[in-house]
Amino acid sequence: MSAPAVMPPIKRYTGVMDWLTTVDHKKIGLMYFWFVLIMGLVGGALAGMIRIQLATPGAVWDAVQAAQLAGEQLPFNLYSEDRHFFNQIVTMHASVMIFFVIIPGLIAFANYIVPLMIGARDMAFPKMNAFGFWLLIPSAILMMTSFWVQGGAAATGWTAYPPLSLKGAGINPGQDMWIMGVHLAGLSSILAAINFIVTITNMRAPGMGWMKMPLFVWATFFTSIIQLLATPVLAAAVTMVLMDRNFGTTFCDAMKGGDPVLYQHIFWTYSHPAVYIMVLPAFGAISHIIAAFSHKKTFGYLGMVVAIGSITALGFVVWAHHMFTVGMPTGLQAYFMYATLLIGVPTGIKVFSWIATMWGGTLRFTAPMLCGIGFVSLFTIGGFGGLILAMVPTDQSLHDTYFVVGHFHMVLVGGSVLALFGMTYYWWPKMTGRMLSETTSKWVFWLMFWGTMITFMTMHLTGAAGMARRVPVYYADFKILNHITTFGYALTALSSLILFVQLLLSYRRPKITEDDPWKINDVQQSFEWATSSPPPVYNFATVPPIPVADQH
Amino acid sequence: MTDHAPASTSAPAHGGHDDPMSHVPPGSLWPLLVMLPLCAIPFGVLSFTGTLKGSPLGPLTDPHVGLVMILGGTAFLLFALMGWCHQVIKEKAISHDLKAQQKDLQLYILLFLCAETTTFGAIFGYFYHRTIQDPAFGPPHGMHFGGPFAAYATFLLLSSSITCEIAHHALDHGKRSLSKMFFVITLLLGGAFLGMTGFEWGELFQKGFTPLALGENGSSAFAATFYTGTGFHALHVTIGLIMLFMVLMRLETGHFQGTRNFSVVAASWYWHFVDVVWVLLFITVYVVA
Ligand SMILES: [Cu+2]
Repeated sequence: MSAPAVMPPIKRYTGVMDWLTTVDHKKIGLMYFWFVLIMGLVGGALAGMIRIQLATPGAVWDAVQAAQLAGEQLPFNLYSEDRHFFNQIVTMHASVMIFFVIIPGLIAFANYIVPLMIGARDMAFPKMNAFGFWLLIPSAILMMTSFWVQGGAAATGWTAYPPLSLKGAGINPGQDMWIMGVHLAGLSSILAAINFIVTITNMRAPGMGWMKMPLFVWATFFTSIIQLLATPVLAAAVTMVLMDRNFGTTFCDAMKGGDPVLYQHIFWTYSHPAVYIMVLPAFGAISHIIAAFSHKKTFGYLGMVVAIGSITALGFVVWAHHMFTVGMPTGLQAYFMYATLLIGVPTGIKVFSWIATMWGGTLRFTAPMLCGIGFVSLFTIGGFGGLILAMVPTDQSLHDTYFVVGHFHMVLVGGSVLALFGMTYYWWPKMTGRMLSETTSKWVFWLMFWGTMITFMTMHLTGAAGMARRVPVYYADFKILNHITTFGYALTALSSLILFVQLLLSYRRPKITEDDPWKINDVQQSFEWATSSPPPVYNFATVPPIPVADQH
Repeated sequence: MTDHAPASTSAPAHGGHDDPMSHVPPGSLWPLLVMLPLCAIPFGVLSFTGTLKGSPLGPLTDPHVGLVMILGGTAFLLFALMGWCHQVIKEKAISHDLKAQQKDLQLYILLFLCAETTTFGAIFGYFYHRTIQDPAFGPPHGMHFGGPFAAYATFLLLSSSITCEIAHHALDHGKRSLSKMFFVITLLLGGAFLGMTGFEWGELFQKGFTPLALGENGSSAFAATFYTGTGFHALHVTIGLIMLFMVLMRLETGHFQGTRNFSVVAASWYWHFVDVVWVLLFITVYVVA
């Protein structure tokens, strides 16, 4: 190749150095992706430890019951080392899944696909983009090594509520390491968010106005706004705990005039919007998948954009529905209840639009389409659980039970994770130039679908029956329900393992030559299908030959 | 950062052929190199404070190793950041589309300031929530808090915002020596503000108002909030001063000749932001409290 006269020839790295120095959004996207896959196995293994512990009620609890019945003193300390270890596992399962799987998983696809979708050559700040990915590594190392320090990893749940997260007796630097890990992951999030907003605002191909952007781009845009505005608040909240622990301040220590409930307010000011960080990109991608395999255009494009926008806005003003049991004034409770229920409206619009898109379409039940339909079903079920929890009276009895655990896993696993599976199957041929076996993919889908359904529907029942969350032992009455839940977990674990191996082996499959292997772009008209699979480093040699004008 | 003009501009419209590879930026090891000390420093701190004693983490259990990691990590971090900046400045010189790039960078700094605003928002949120809920949330009883000294400091910082704007304006009109002079004045005013904050802190310390001082409600939460707010702001002033200083140095070496003046815009916006935050903070900690 001959470089133009204005520029000196650019030094290019090859091999491993190419990956270590890459600023290409596609390579960075793939690195995010593999990082997420590996951390997903770690998080899944932690979940397995939880499920193995909960598969049986636990000898401990039987002894407690016997002692209580006999009116004796408890034969041992309930808050033993084992319990503490169980809490560590629960906390790290949540932290890994949130900070290293779902959020970066969606960023992985946004990184790879968004610049392609808007016809750009790269992100606006390629080096920042690489830095955002690299930051996850020290963050993950900090959190994972904390298992081996004195006192073990953080054991407070991912919410790190004081006074539990404050310094008790003895040293437990695990909590400090968790906080520093959150800082680094948060910085990574903020840098990625700024990069996406600038890229989407300034780098769209000529002719692609705001209202002609693909929905996945819109979803990434709104997600980035949430990340940008909410993540610093999380950093502030955990910093208060860090200072209380190490510098003697009393922001959150009620014993010394601090305000632990205010910590919860600040924490949820981030963490409720954060649930939309974990699901909005999935919304966008599912719209593409369902439209593609219905061979139609997305029904109600404008409505979809407005719905994502209003979910973003509403997401910032409903946080205290996580705190109905802290003793808020009734008026506030009522406000947060109604505001939360209001989110059901835009979410409903989205579900109806997906169904309307399928209505009368030429449906092709490929693996990504199955994941798409599975997403809509499971997310809707999970969403209904959310409505139940949004209502103050029901929440007050269901708070901190397995009903809550079942609810958010139904929307995160049945929603975000299943969507991630669908996105993988949909875009993998584009990202690697290799088709995946449809049979294997469908096995993965059905295992995941039924695994999710069994595990988390059962958890709803267990919770409604009164089993508390974050306990390693329970009354024998919950035994059968917990057996079923653990069986469901095994299905999801099997599904994830097959997916992992399938993706590893896919690199040995023959390369495809089509730009548009799904044969969908006559209707989709999205730029990513208008370049080779995988795309060249520069994405497009010339302007993509698609009439953007009538995209929707 | 390099050219990222949409693909169409690279279409062979001007008759000659255009190699798309020429738009692909070179790789950079700096992001990875900046990450390494960010991994080493936290572990260094943990090790240095002795919290890792007795854990199976090998050499990390020795506080001396921790100290080496902190110092070495910080030095390496500065080195890597400078390397990164150097590469960016060098690459910017060969950029294809300056205007688009400046637009991106300006949006970048605006969004960054939005994120900063929410961080300060959390501090303000804590303060006002406590003030409303607990009337005794305030300085210790009988303590004379604030006064003309803080007002003078505010005056200095506000005027530095004006001098910064004059310097920026002068640069836009090519009056480089005038611009340099006003940047120096801005730096001096900002430095004076920082010094006065430090002095004020010293005074308060002498009166017994430390970050852990108990207030009327028997809690140190107010003192901690006061020092966190003003301290976090002082940190921002320091960063702003470093940015202004770098602008001044680059002016001295002859940079910012044409329209490439993003660093000036960034530094001045940042400085105004720091100013606005101070006004809010001043009202909060001195007037409301
Ligand atoms: Cu919520």
